[in-house]
Amino acid sequence: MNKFRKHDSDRLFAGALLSFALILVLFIFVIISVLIERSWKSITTFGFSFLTGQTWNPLRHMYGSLPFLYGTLISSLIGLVLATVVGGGTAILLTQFNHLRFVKLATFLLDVLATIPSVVYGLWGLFVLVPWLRNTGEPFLKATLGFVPLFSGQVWGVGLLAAGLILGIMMLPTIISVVRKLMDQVPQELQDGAIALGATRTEKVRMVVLPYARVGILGAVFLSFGRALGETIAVTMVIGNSPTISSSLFQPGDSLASVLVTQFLEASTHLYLSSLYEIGLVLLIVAVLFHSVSKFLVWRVSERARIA
Amino acid sequence: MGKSLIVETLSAFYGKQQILRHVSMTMPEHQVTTIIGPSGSGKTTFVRCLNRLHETTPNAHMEGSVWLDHQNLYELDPIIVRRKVGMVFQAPNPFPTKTVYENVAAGLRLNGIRNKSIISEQVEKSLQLSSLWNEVKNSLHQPVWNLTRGQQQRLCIARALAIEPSVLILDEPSSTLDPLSALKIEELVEDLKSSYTIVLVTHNMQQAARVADLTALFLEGELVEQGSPADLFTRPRDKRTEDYLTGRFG
Amino acid sequence: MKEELFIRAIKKRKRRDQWFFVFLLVMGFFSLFPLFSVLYYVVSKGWPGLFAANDLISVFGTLEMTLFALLFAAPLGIGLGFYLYETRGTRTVTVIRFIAELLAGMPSILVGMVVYAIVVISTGTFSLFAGSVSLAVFVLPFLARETEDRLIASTSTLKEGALALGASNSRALLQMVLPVMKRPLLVAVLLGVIRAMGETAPLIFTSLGNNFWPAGVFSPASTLSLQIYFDALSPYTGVQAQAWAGALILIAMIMILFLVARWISKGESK
Repeated sequence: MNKFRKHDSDRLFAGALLSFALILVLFIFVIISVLIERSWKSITTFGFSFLTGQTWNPLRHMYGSLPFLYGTLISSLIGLVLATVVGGGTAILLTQFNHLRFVKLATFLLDVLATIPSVVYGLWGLFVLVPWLRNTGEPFLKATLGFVPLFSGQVWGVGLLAAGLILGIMMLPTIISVVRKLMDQVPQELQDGAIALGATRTEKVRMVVLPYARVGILGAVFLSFGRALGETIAVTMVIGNSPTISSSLFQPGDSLASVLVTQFLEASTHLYLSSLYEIGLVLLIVAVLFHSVSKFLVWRVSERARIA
Repeated sequence: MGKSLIVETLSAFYGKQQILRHVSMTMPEHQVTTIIGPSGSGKTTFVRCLNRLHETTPNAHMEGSVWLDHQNLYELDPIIVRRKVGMVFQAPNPFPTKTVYENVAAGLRLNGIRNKSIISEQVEKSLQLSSLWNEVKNSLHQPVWNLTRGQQQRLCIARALAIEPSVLILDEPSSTLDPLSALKIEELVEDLKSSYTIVLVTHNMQQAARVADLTALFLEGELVEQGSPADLFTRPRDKRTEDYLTGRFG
Repeated sequence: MKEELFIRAIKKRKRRDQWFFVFLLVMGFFSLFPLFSVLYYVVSKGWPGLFAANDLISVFGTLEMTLFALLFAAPLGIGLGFYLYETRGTRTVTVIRFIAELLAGMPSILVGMVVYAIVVISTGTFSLFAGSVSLAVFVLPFLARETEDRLIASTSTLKEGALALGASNSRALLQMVLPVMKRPLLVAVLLGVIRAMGETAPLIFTSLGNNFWPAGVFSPASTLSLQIYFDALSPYTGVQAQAWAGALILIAMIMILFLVARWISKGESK
């Protein structure tokens, strides 16, 4: 009797928990179906040319999303490179040189950094970073690296470079904390093995730590990239909001997310709004893609760590 | 090649906690010195002090001196110390992302040796010394996880030997291996002692009795007694040694 | 002779090691520099305009909207976290887990577009309510994962103990685990509040913003984040100054919550 009741309450409890999960499934179902339903007109009108069209001009009913895809990918890529180098370096500093006194303080400050809202980064970007880029940073890059097309042309301040820098800063806390966790998983015996052979700290990092963690680091990089693709407000404020494709990083551009912010409420025709929903759909697909790849990579590393 | 290792009043600490108390002993060349004692007695810390691995742990430090070939190791650069004093760990720890060949070559490359023929010559020599050559000579460029654990441990020995140390430390090298592989390691130790000063940590008293020329017993961070295994195991001078050997300790 | 070469090589290696260390220090500096710069500008530029009337409207908007959002999201998120924890390792939940991850990794602006299509259009108005719904959907997956992580971190042995004593699974969870989890869950909720508070993108299409006190739950409302966004894009320096003031208030509120959350989780670990 008692046993039966126990079993019963467990089933009730499991059912309650399952209902939470079903709500989640409902959410994702609603989100995807709304995006598809609303963008259906755009999808049927433009077909594949929506993705390859280079002109976005609502006044002339031309809706090509390539400039936004380009701006999204390039700005995220800039951010990614910066965040990987700076964040990776910081993670190595905090894990491999951990006799330093300031590790605890730095960890705390990085946690604080992670709480700063996107819109505040945007504000700072717009009034601090962009003027600096216009007056100092970009002229300097132009003077030294101007022969590369990336760093040529007119200096604006706002643009792909500004967006990339902001994204890089915003990715830092995630990259650092994930890479730190991965490096902490590198078995101590392996690190001791390298040290006992006479390796310096640097050589140990290169010989043992980085090779061991590299797949996971790649996962962290993908994860951050997926986040950066969808980052909205801060990018909107500094990217320049101009749907053009330009080889120079100094030029204004636009991203998938920021065109939604600036034009969604202005969409005056059904097709215009539908095209914006399709941009949302593209954004979802791209973000999910990178998110899945990163999850898979991180999972593979922790799985390997568990087996070893 | 081998030279005696002389330890004088060595103490080791983690933070404020003292792990080793004023240990002094000599590990003669061309002999196998075994370190025995219960877990937590400071055996591992002791050998980690010999190649200055102890000091790489956060908050850890040591006092005293270790002499090799008229040089105080504690006044040398730790990197030089680790070239003179090689070490093999409890569990096999080959570098998992490197091939068999590259594992053995790792120490040579660290030391700036670029010449390919010197490296491959040295790799073959080290693998032969660790009696692994015949088993891996056709799979030198395969990943190390294809090897058995016993082979991996002998690979680690080859890796340590490749940079031609004077002293070889083995920290319970066969404790995680199957009996057959353990026996192989033991035979290897016998073979190697003609050219190296060997320090072998073991919890296995039979093993200590079999391979040791000199045995030292550690209890609670102190060196309680040292002597030939025949003396130490059959005629202990210290009451604590007798208690430990008869199972009355701890 | 060979030894001399070796020692010279060591010197080179050590120099490389030191340069690498310097490089890492520079990277560490770059990681923290933005934080100091942001805080410096927010405080120095935000302070003068701190006591404008608009701020108060936005502060209340932020508080109300976050509160509503969490009232909705906290029970759901925590419940979901329990579900993920309870069903760990079973094959049937891999789909659910993937969906939770997917929702967590989804750009928040998409939530805004969907809530616009559903709530704003059906109620016929931008509103504080619609904003709350979008924030709730936004923090839900975050709360679920935080809950799951905290459950894993602090209870597995506890629950096994209870089960070993013969408690049923649900009793073990509700009577043994839940009381111990009060503080960690509170911390998770606080972190969720921090995230929801600073979020802007989905609110633009749902809550819209409002320069006046909202007439009710079903009318447009401003939040600090919306105010910062719109004021920053204004051409007038006076209005831009209000953006900085809003940022100062927002950061201060977030800092307080962050420190409280830390303090609670510290107390728990003792």
